[in-house]
Amino acid sequence: MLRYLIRRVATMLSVLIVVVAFVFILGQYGAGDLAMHLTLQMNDNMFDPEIYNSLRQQLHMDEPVLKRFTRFLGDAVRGDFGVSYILPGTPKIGRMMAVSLPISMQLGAAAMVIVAAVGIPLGVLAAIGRNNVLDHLIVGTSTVLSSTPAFVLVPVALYLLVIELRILPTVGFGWHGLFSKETLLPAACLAAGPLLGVVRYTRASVVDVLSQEYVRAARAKGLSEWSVIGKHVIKNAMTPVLTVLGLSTARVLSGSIFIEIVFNLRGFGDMAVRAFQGGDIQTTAATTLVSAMIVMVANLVVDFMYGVLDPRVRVGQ
Amino acid sequence: MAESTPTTLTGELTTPWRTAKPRSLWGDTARTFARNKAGMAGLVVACLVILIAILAPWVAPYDHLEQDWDHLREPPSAAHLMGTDAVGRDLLSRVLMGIRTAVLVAVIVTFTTAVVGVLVGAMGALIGRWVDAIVVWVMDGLLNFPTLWLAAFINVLTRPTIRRVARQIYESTHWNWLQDPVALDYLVMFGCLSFVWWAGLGRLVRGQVLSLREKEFIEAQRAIGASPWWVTTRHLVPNVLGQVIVQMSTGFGRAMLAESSLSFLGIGIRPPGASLGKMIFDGTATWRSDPHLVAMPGLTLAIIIMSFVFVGDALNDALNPRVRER
Repeated sequence: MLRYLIRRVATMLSVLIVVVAFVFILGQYGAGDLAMHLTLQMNDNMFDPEIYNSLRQQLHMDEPVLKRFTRFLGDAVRGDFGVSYILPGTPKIGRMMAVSLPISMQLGAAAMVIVAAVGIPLGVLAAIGRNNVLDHLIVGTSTVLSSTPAFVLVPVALYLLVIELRILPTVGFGWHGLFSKETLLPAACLAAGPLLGVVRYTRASVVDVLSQEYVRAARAKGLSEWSVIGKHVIKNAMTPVLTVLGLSTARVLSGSIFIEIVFNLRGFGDMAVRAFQGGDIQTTAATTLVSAMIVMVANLVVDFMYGVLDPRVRVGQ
Repeated sequence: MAESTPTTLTGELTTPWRTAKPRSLWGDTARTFARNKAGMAGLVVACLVILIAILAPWVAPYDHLEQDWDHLREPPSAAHLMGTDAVGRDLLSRVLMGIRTAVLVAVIVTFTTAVVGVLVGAMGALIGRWVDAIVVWVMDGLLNFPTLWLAAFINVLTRPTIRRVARQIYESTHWNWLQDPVALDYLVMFGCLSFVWWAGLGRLVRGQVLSLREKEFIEAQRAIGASPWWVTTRHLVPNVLGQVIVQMSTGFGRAMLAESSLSFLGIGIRPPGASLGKMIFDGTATWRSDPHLVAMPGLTLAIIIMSFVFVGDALNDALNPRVRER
């Protein structure tokens, strides 16, 4: 198990270097000369070689590329992403993230819990009643929910649930903590995106397991249908579902951008959008890098759980 | 058919064999596809969407930019089927033009990603060695980013550069479209989405080609002396094409969604260009008093995305007979 884990972490680290290299190359060379840009900004659009050269030195732009890259990598790992040159007061990007990231993490975690808690049982139900009305209803509803873009789903949900049906109280916008009533709707809307994938994967996986010999054997020895499903099917069908839960992280991350804007939550997605709109390249690069890191860590966790659940995985290769 | 075929004494056939007419892969695919109701419904909507995209300027009842200050924020009526927006523009005409924008982006991005993905993926698999290593390295790097974030990053990066380059080209050529901000928005959009998306298709093609090369029927072709060109055009391409088509059909819907998403965030197609995403964003500010400003473009977008999901699923089922049984 330990060897499997070490191998996985080593693979992830190599991919991490590629990802950081991407962001480094794009961020440093993709948008032109930062020192030049800052010189013009500081000096009323006039070029001054003195300011320019001192800025180059300050930003370490006169060093060789490899040295700059190692510095960038080391800083990024320690959570230092430099400062934003667009926002007033050139705030540290790492510090802004320390405030915004926890909000998004909690919201995302809540959404993932909803996805798993709703998607997996629905998928099992759909598989058991394969091709009956319930199956079509479950798959159809989740298709509709998942195909509707988050920024359409939220206003429609607000209109239906709050104004027309009055199921939920008027929603308070802004962040009220993980366990408050106000968090339910944003988390549920965020969960809608990856729902279809989880329902479908669970359904396919359960259908697959139901046709296995050992399920027939369990039925033959006289177990009731529910204990066959509860004891033999679900346990064996869950490993592929883990993969799709891992893949859902990326969707939740993208979805949270829209959810945070519409619900006015000052999270990580909101911070990123402000950077996009302001053309703030430093902050955008940092948020993109962190989003990729989150996805990679989620995949690592999935692989780890895979190894725990399925002995073949950790022995194999 | 257990009955023996009647023959004359000399052994000639008197009646032809009653075998089923052979069906081609594509004929079989079309038949299976036609049996899928959701897929057919999706296909009808998808065709309608593309037709609208082509004909939008002619079928739109009003000019999508014309403002009518006597009819602001009107709910849907006979004169304005989807109502009017905050400056009295006809919402139906704007939605039709928004569909045109999304389809244009999707067509270009889908074809660019298909060409780049297939070429790069096949190149890696066929050449091998260090070329393959670099291809895998780049694709792995790209695929580890959440697509929307990377697209937004590329978008923010390239926007000033493209504007600067366009100005320089304009100074020497005086092509007027280079001064049009909407045209530059389109360029940025094509670029950032294509950059992000080719890798998925590239990985798929590379994997398919690698696994096909090991198959016996390709081995047999080589053994009887078929040229690499023959093997590629007659056996590799048809076998990979099915998967590529499935990917392209789902990719088309995803590209339309991505265009709307980026426009919603204010970094996509910006006014005066028409985009469903931007319309929805403008509408969300007043969703309580004028729900139609969100609902009309929003539901249109949702229906379009859903129809492409259905088409992709049905194609996938039709082209992968082994999955079909489930």
